[in-house]
Amino acid sequence: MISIQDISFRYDKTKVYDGFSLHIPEGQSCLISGINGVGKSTLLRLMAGVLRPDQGKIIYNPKLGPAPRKKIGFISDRLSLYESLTVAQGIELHQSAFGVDSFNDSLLKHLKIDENQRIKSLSIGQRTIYHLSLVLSARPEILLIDEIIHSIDPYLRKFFLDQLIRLLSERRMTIVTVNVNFHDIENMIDRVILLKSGRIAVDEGIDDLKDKVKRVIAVQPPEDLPILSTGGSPDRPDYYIYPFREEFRRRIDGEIIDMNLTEIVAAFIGGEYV
Amino acid sequence: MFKKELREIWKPALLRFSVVLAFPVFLEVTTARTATESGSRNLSLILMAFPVVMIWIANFLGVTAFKAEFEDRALEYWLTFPGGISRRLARKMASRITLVLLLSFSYVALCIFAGSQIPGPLNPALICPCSFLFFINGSLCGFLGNRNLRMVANVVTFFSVVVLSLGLSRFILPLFPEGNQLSAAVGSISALLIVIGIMGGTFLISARQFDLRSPELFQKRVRAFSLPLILALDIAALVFRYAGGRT
Repeated sequence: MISIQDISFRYDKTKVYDGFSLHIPEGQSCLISGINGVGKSTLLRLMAGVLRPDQGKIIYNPKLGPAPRKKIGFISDRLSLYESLTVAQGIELHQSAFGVDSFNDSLLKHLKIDENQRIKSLSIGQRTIYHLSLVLSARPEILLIDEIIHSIDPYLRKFFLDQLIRLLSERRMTIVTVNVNFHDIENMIDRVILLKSGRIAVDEGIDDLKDKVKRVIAVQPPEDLPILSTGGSPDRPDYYIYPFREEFRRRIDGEIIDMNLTEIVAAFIGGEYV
Repeated sequence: MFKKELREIWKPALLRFSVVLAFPVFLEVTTARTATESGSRNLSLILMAFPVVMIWIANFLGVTAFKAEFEDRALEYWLTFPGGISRRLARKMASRITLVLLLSFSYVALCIFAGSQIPGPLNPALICPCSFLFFINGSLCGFLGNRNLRMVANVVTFFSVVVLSLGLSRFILPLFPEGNQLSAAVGSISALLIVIGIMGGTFLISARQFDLRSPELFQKRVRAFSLPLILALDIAALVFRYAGGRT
């Protein structure tokens, strides 16, 4: 559980959050999205404790004890690690910092990562998996993943997400991801949060969201439809409707299509660029 | 973590010491048996070199406190480590303070060995606080992420701290009876301790707010405020010194 209570945060003169609150219950998998620069990574960093709110507070599940950071795993988009260390030295450092006794090196072996290799010599994909191994060795209760897995190849991305899904099936864990490839994680997440100008624009369960966002292909849709954004071509326009209500089906003379998560997020974000 | 940090810093410190002190120590060892006078000269050389290297190392330990985090781009990772930020900073500083303490004890031992022929400015009661002062000065500059700015800020603040300490001691000295050497020393030490207090307080205030933004904010503050102020202070001190003020 993470409870963000009325936080304010700014980078120098740029205000990012002002009185922002969010509650993520224990065991929930949550996706945070929004346009570039809206503060998604900042929010994750605030949750991870590497940034401190100027005002307000962030409360973690009391079950995590007096040192909640021991149970928070954070994989940043910067892939911050001690690059001059070898893989083995990095493991040793992480173990001593987080008080971990054992380390499962199966992921490293699978990717043929040598323990004597310097971290800086690892590819981005290898480094991501290495970081994930480090983080998982501390058996985190809260896992925060920034959009880093966008930049790794499809095989490693699938490998990374398979590990997460396996982990979720083994134990209850709170996961917060930012802009991870939506298609890959669609079946994994419970809740979608879309940010806009430092506040929550949409906060829905994944199934509710799919029910509430529809693509309508019609030459002339009813004027009072809540159109989120438009797409398609001028001669065959698409209208993205949110919130969609069942009564609309009777009034729309056209095709109503269900959307997947990638399309839904794109429709929301597209609406902000218009 | 403390042991790990200490392991990483004691070797370079020892190497620096060895490089500077090797020659006078060699002379001391080889000549002490044959000529007492030249042996004594060599000991004086060591007594002069030791505090200089000690202050240099203390300052270096401070200024490089976050070197690994900045140069390895690991600051964000380090900030995810468990424990409050003040605890993590304290752990980081503890190993360095231990080393500065060890050096101070070594210097005191050397002075005891040398007997009573120690010139006033080399008094360990003055040199040891001095090394702590420059350690804190270095540590404040160590917050700066940009390596070049860190070095420039360190050099500038290094001299400004000297000016500040001397200026303060000029105010404190008249409080003691004239001609009393012990009182003069106490006055200088008091001035040093006040400056240590100011610098230490600044460090603690800065450390309390430390997060991923800190290096950037520090750079801005140093560029916009601290460096111009320090330079102005130095110029004022020089003008005061050469326009009729006495030292």
